[in-house]
Amino acid sequence: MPLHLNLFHEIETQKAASRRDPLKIAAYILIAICGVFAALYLLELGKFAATNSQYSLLKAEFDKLDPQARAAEKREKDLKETFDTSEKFVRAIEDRFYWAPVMGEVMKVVPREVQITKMSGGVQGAAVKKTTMNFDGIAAGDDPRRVAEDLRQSLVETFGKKYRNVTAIFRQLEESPASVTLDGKTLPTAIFGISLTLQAGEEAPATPPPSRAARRRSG
Amino acid sequence: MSNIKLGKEDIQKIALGVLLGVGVVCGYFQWLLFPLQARHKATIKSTAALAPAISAAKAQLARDTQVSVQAPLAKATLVQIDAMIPEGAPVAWFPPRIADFFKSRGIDKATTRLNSDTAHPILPGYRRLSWALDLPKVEWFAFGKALADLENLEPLVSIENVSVDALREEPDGQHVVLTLSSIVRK
Repeated sequence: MPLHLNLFHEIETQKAASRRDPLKIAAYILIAICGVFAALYLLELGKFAATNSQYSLLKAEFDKLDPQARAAEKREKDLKETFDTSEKFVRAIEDRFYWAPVMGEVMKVVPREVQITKMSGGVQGAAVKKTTMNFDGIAAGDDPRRVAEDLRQSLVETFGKKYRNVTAIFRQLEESPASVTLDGKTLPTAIFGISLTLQAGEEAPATPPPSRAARRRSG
Repeated sequence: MSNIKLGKEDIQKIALGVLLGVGVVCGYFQWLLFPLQARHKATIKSTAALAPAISAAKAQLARDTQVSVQAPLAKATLVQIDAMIPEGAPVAWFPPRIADFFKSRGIDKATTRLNSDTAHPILPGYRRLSWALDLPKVEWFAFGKALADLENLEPLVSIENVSVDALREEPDGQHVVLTLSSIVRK
């Protein structure tokens, strides 16, 4: 049997030892992990770059629009004030209480047998105008109280067609010792005072009651 | 495995390698990946917040265009109203104006006195003046017509109170006192 002598034994042993060097293996593993980490980082960086690019575009658009929008907002506020003032003016003018038609109606209602000696009236309120008028006068007729009552009723009927909550009450109604001659006939007279109240203008819409949900929230 | 024989030096190298690896991994997450992810999230959030802001700005611009179309009408109304108010102190021009108004309608004597001067409650930049107008002697029909004209031709004047007294000495004459309210600039 021939004798084999492996003269490279030591070299092979060294090579094997070198292949199994833990530090080398660990270095390989570390390099692999670093590679994976670097790939992961680059992936995230790519996503971030895409998002950042989109953000930059939007930011540029916003930076362009924002000053314009702010200027527009200020202009809108000023214009709304102008609209508001204009509308209030128009309403203040149109919602006035007009006395001339009232006087005209009073002239039509007062009969020949009645003389108004004093009339006064006033308006109160902004949207709803509550008007009070006082009429003092002399009524003549066979039944002067009846004449005065007819006038009171005529006032309610006439103004009730045009205004709301019309009421007319006697402040005073008493027979007078004086008498007047009308159409050649001497008639007894009565002194009266009538207070007429009425409402003109539209009432402001009532504020709606809070909803149940709102009440629950606040409660 | 049994072939691998680790010497003391090898074990030290492995321990050092493990420590180095842990350090690298921690450093990677701590200083690279997590900050990048945080910035990414912040950018996404900022982008999401920008979209409604841009929409709101565009809506504001659209609204502005719409409002600007209606503006001339409102401005014209105010210009028209301002043109009705003469320059100068109202007490200097209002009484003569009223006197002339009634004079041109056959009522020769009209005296106007200022009662009060207050800021207008609903119109900023304007005042409300209350005047007492005394017409010592008027004929009823002429007065009625003048009153109707006053209400129609002087839109900034409103009549608050009316008092009409029959004159004892003249059955056809009445003494009228009106409380007028007028709107003037501040």
